[in-house]
Amino acid sequence: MVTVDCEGRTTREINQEIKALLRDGIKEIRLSNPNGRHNLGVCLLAPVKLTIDGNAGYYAAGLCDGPEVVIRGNVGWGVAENLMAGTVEVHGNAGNAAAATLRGGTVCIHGDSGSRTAISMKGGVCIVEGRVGYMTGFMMQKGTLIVCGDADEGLGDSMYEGTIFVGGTIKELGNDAVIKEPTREELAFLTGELQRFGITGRFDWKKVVAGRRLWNFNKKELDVWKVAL
Amino acid sequence: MMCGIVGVMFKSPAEQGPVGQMLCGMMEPLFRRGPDSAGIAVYTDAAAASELVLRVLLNAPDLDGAAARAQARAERIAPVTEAVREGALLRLKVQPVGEISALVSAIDADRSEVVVASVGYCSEIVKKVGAPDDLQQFAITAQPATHGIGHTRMATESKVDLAHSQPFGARVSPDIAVVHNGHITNYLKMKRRLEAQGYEFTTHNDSEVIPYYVDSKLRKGASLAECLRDAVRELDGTFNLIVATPRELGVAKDPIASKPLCVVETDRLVAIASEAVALHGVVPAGVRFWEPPTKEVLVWSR
Repeated sequence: MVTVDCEGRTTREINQEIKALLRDGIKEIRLSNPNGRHNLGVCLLAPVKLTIDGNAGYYAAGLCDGPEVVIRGNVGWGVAENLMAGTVEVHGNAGNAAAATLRGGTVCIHGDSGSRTAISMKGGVCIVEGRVGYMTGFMMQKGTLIVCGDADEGLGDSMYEGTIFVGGTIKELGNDAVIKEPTREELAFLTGELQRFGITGRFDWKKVVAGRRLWNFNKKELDVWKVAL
Repeated sequence: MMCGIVGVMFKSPAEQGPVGQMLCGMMEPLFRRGPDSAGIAVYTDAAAASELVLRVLLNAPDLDGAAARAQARAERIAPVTEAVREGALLRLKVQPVGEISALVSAIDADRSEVVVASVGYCSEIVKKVGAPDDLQQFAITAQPATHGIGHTRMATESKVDLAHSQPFGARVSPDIAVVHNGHITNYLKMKRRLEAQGYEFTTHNDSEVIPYYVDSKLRKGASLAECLRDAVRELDGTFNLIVATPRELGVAKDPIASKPLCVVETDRLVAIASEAVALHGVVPAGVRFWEPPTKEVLVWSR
């Protein structure tokens, strides 16, 4: 494993050094002293294990395809944005819009995650061990969002497809989000996904999916307009 | 609107520390969020406060002349015991007065030249145009203090000058200071409502409504927590607020969580910042910070 010390370097220099190490065939990299800096470990397009040893700022591990990223701290907004494949694991809390537009792979946040978690999610799996904030799962299109804790207002608002599982309480469902009973296969899937990240416990799973009333929108339905807008 | 906001408070009533320096250190990594102007409000031990300190903004080519005229106007209302000019900011120390608004109105008589920015028995607000890198030029930053707030501004809707910089004080009430990241969209409605109550606005900055709003609520007997809960309901737009009073530090977050905010709390202190990068100098590594949810109101007392 090679350690890159973030102290005294610009973000561009750090990310360029990571790219250079990848070209040299290094498969395991550790970033020390990240100190909440933004845009660390972005655009990793090769299988590499990257450990960020401390807090990271915005867009940590954004626009990646295939890496295994572990962040031993908290993160700001937009962690693992648009991940295509691989895993991003956060051993702390996340700010807003974690796993935004997630397309594949798995994002696991062991703490709480802020508002608009997994906004416009398009695939993959996002796991939050703690609670999630306002409008989580907004406009979700595909994939699975697993929330072990509580969900704030507007959960799954205007989701097209995909599935949200909530182990805690749901403060308020978003527009056109409905609760269904999880199947036995789905419960087994949840157990397996959580075990991958060492998450255990008893959860009262609620399954949230699109009610599909917004799929075929009739502009003459004034009541639907009022709710949707 | 971008802007960076910070706050810090030592929780123990017995503890004071280099709050001004801590705030400056927290604001420096946030300068990209707002390079137009910067300022801090620093609170010292409320129990030891005896004289009123006014910070007056000077806006004239002859700064010394403007300062002398402001001092002369103040002396018509209350004895001035100390007058020091730090750049375009005049610091006047006066003996306690009955009605602060009379003193402020007297100094403010020619607003094109001087404007009272803040009044406080245990707090002072200092500001500068530009990035926050040299705020430590002000003597208050070196004093032991209990808590404080700071702001680095990216102007999007009003002038870039000292008057439009934050923190904003309540002006007619001592020791209330506010920093705001966001935009109050019902600013004009709130402004008219507060003007009807007698508050005089000195800028076109939407954030100026907030300290007067807080003051009007506190004067009616609301607690800071009640006041901030009302603010979340009545202020429209996007906002993260940090409000400081002599013994409290409060935070309020808008109903749609459109602005970032990190909070960290240890046994010793609480620190708040727009971004985590600002917290690393004031709390030990490994302490967990969190982002408050929508409509959250948090108040710490000491």
